[in-house]
Amino acid sequence: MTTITDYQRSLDRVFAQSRELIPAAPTWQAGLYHAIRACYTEMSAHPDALHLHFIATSTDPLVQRTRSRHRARLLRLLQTTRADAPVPLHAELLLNQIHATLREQIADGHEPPDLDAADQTFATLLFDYRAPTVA
Amino acid sequence: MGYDAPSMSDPTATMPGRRRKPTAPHDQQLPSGRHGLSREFVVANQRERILVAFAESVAAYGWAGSSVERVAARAGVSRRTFYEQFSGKDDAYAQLFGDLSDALVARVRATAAATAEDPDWLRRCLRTLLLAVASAPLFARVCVVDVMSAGPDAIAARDRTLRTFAQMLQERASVGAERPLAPLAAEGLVGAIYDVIYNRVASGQAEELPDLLDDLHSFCQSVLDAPRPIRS
Repeated sequence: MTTITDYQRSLDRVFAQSRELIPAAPTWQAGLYHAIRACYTEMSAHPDALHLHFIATSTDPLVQRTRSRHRARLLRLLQTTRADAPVPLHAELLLNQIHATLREQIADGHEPPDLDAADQTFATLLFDYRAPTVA
Repeated sequence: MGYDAPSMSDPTATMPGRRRKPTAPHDQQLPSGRHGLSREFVVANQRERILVAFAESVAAYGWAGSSVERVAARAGVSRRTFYEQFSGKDDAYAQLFGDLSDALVARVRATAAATAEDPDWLRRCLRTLLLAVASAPLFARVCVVDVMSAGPDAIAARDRTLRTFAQMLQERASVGAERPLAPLAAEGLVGAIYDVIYNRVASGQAEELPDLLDDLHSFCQSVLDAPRPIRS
C-alpha cells in the first residue's frame, strides 16, 4: 500500500522531470504535454499512487492537499520558465480539466487507460486549447 | 421571514461567516414561553438554527469537533430537539448539503433557462455560480471542503451534484451545436471548475471568485468552441 510519503516521492520525481522538460520544450503546450506524460508514466508504474492521485484525491483531504501543492508548483514552474505561458487561470483550468477527464475514465473503467489511451486524452485537450484572441 | 435567520434555501441570501463571530451566541433563538408562533414555524426555525450552527461549528472546530452537544448549544436548542429533527450529525450534514446544493443548482438552472436565447448564456451562468459561492463563504467551505470529512454518503451527494451540473452543461451546450458535447467533456470541464472553486474556498479566497469570471469564461468558451473528439 502506497503511503502519502511514497506518493509525495512519486510527485517529486515527476516535478524533477518537469523542471527539465518544460523549459526545454519548443512551446508551453509541448512542455506541459511532456510533463503530464511523465506524470502518467510515473503513476502507471505505481498503481497505488495512481489510485491516490486520481481517485482518493476526491475523498481524502490529505491526498487532496498533497496533489494541490504539486499542481501549484507545476503551474509556478510553467509561469516562471515560459514566456509563452497562457494566463495563469487557463493553465490551472487546463490541468484540472485533464485530471478530471482522466479521473472519470479511470473511475468508470475496470482498468486505468494505458499510456497510449491516456496520451490521446490529454494530448487532445492540451493541443485543442486556444488562447482567447485579444480584441 | 419574521426573524433574522440565514436562509438555508438560499445560500446567497446571507453570509453567516461575516455577520457573526463563530463564537457568538446564536441570535435567532425564539423567545421562551408563550409566543403565539405556530408549531410549524417553531420547528422550521429550530431546523434552520441547527443547520446554521452546524455549519459554523464545522468551520470553527472541524467535523470531528462538532459534536451534537456543541451544535445544539450553539443553536440554542436541547439535544432532544436536535434529535427530533435529525438522526445524528450525518443526517444534519446531509440535509444541510442537500438544501444548499439544491439551491445552488436551482439558481444556475434558472439563469440557464432565462438565457435560452442569449448567446452570452455561458458567461451569465458562470457569473451566477461564482457570485453564489462567493457570497456565502462559510456554507461554501462546509459544502466544498468539509464534505470530504463527512463520510461516503456526503461525498456521494457531492458527486451527484457535480454530475447534475455536468448534465446541465452538456444539454445546454448541445443546443444548436453541430455536434453535441460529450458527457465526458462536460464532466471534465465541471471538474476543472470545481477544482478552481475548491482551491479558492479552501484557502479562504472564496470572495475573490467573481474576479475570475473573465478568464474562466474565456477558457470554458474555448472548450465549447473546440472540436469535440473526447468521447465517453
